[in-house]
This record gives sequence, structure tokens and C-alpha cells, in this order.
Amino acid sequence: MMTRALSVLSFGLFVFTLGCAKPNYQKIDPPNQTQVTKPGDENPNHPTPPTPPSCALFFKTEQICVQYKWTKPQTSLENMGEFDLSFYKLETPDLKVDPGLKPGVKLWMQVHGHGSRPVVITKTDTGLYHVSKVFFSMPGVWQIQFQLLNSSGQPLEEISDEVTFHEN
Amino acid sequence: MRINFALIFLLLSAQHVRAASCCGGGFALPSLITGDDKAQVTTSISQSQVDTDVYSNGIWQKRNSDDTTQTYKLDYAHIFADRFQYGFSLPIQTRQNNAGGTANKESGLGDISTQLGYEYLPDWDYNPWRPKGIGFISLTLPTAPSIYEVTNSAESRGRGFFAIGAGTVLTKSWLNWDANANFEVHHSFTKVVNNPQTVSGNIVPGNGASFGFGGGYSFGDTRIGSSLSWTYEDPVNVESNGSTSNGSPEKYATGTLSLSQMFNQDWAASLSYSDQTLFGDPSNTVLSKSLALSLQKRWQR
Repeated sequence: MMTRALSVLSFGLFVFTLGCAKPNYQKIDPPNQTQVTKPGDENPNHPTPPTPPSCALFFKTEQICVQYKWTKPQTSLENMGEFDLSFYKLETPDLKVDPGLKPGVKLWMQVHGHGSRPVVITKTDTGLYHVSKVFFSMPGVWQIQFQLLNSSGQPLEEISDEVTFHEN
Repeated sequence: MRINFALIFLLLSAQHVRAASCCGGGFALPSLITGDDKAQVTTSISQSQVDTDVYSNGIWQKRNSDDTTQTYKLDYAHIFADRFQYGFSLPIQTRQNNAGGTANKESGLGDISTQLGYEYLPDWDYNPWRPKGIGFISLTLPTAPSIYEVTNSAESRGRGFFAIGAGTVLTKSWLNWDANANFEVHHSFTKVVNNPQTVSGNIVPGNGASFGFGGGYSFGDTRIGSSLSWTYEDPVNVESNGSTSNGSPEKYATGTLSLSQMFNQDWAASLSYSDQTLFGDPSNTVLSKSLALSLQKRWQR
């Protein structure tokens, strides 16, 4: 009986050591250190126009820059993040201006093909908006898609920034 | 009797191994009659806990917050016309998390699946080497909300696609030892989602496949076993507003240990532990650990 039990254990050990996983745990940059996806990068048929160096997120339709700054980064799946959004013309970065179209923000997880719950956008001043209830519903690489919406709420232009969310 | 016993248990403990994956569940291996019975009903309860997120670049991140799934499942299979069998699987899921500071607990029906099987390789003469082979086709119905339609991930209890699959299960036993292998491929069909809060457009999945093998040893009416399976899913792409968002393929492996007990010719139970963090080279997925308890009633021919 003991010999058989040892045989079973040996077989199990063989099976369980075959193809063992090699976990690659790495520290990920916090969400406010982002890589920027420039407009037009994703479509080779529409080459990106020269992007002003101080305006990484640029809406071509309105020739307007958008910038965001985290005021409360999401640190775990049990809380939500917030950031401020500001619009300005390239020539006058200190002067905030309202976009002609309604701004929108959408969170998108491209690798899985799904989004998250809607954010809440509140206008705080001319060209300034506060975005709350920013919730990355699972760890991984997300796109923050900044949109200009038409009157029916459909995006007319969309540019995105890529962030990696992980729990601290 | 001994052959029956081994074959009964081969898949009893393997029915949960595909259950844990990203965003609400994977493709289920059907519950097939692999012994000499006329019909079988299996009820099971499993508790699954998300352990690790693996990104598409292969980097692992330990999940700190709770994300658990309880699944109650009813599987039925019945023989007809001697070598054919049909069956279905009916899961009820409860998902629980604490997303965004709000405790969420959602229950409801998962994705229902049905199957049609045929014993193409019988083992009437108990050949010492030739296995018993059962082929099957299966249909998965998107009866549960998927991550593409909900804003709270606790509400997502299924993959969200019609899927059709085909595969085979091979079984063999030698005295107290037994072995099994299974292979299946499936195709998931495009789904149109129109939810302004999540996504509006075509969700385009692709093909998927899984391969597994296992073995066990029986001590009287008790069997211990282990199995290992690999699963692959094509990227899920999203076509929306004239542009396409390309996803990444998902892959993971699941290891399972099981302890089974046969009470008499008609009743059996199995306790199994599955772990997706131990094997393979996972990518773009969520790895879980789960514990399952199954009870099976069989009707002999």
C-alpha cells in the first residue's frame, strides 16, 4: 500500500512539475506616470500631423490641447480616482478655453475589449473640468480616451493616453 | 466494476477547470458519461478566488482585493441510441467584489451549454491499450450578462457569446490506474452590443482551444487524481464607430488535484482543488484558485 501511495505521489509530482509557471512579478509605474498615444498613431493611412511639443494630447478638429492631472489616483480596486482636465490653445497655454464641443472621457481596456463604468465630468471654470469616479475595474493596461462629443453624444474625435493600473 | 469506477471519476472532478478566467468565465468542458451508465446528474458547488492578474506582456500582478465567485452547477447527461448521448450544463453564479468602495454581490444564471456526444471508440473487449473515445459537439448560449454589457464586473457571469465547439475525451484504465485526455476547439460568434455606458459596436471574438490530460489511482472505493489543462482564446476585437480596437490573446493553464469517493453503484462525490497560478505561460488573463465539491447520481443501463 505504501509503495502504491508513493507511486501516486511521484506521478502527481511529475505532472505538477511539467510546465510549471514562471511568474514574472514586476513593479509597475503608478498611473500618473503615463505613456502618451499621439493622435493618428493608430492609423498608418492618416499620418500624424506634426504635434506641438508641449501639447501631447491634441484635438485636430478644434486645434485645441487637453491636459489632465491626477488629483486622486486610484490605488486599489476598492477606490476610485479623480483628475482635472484643462483645455488650452497651443499659443496660449496659460489661458484656458472651453472647447466648442462637449468633452467626454471613456476608460477602455483594449487587450480585453471592454470598458468600465462611466466617469462623472463636472465643469469647474472656463476650460477646466473635474473628472471623478474614474474606476479601472481590473489591473492592467488601460486607455483613457478623451473625446469631443456631438449633440447626440457621439464622439467626433477621440485621442487617448495609456496608463497601467495596478493595486498598491 | 473497477473499470466503471475509474471512468466515472475521470471527469467528475474536471468539470470546473475551465470556469475561472477573465471577466466572467471560460468555455466549459461538457459533462459526458464516460462509464457504462444510462444517465447521470452531477450537482456541484465551487468557490473561486481571483489571485493574480497577468498582463498581455506576461507581467504578473498579485490581486490584493477580494473578487470571489461561487458557482452552483447542475450537469445532466443521458444515453440514447446505444452510443449517443446528450446533456446540458446549468450554472448559477454569485460574484462578489468591493469595486470602487462599494460592496457588490450579484447572483444569477451563467452561460448555459448543451452537448451531443458519440462513443466513436468503444472498449467492449477491454483492450489493454486502446482507449475509449467519446466525441462531442457543444453549444454555449450567452444567457448571462457579460463584461461588454455591464458596468459592474460583479454582474458579469459569462463570456457573452454564442459558441460552438467540438472535441474528444479519451479514457483508459489499467487495474487501479486510470488516465484521460481531452481536446476541444470552439468558435465564438460576433455579438452586437449597444450600451452607451460600456461599448456600442461589434464584439468580435475568435477561436479557442483547450487540451488536458490527467490520471489517478484508486484505493478501493476512493480515488485520488490530478489533471492539467491548457486553454487558449483568440483576441476579442471591438469594431465601433468605424474603428477597430484590437485585443490580445488569452492563455492559461489549470492544475487540479481531486479526491473522489464512490458510495455505491449509483452515488459518488468528489472534492477538488484547482490552481491556475502554477503552470504554463499565462498571458492577458486573470488567474484563480478554486475549491469544488461534486455529488453525482447515476442510473445504470
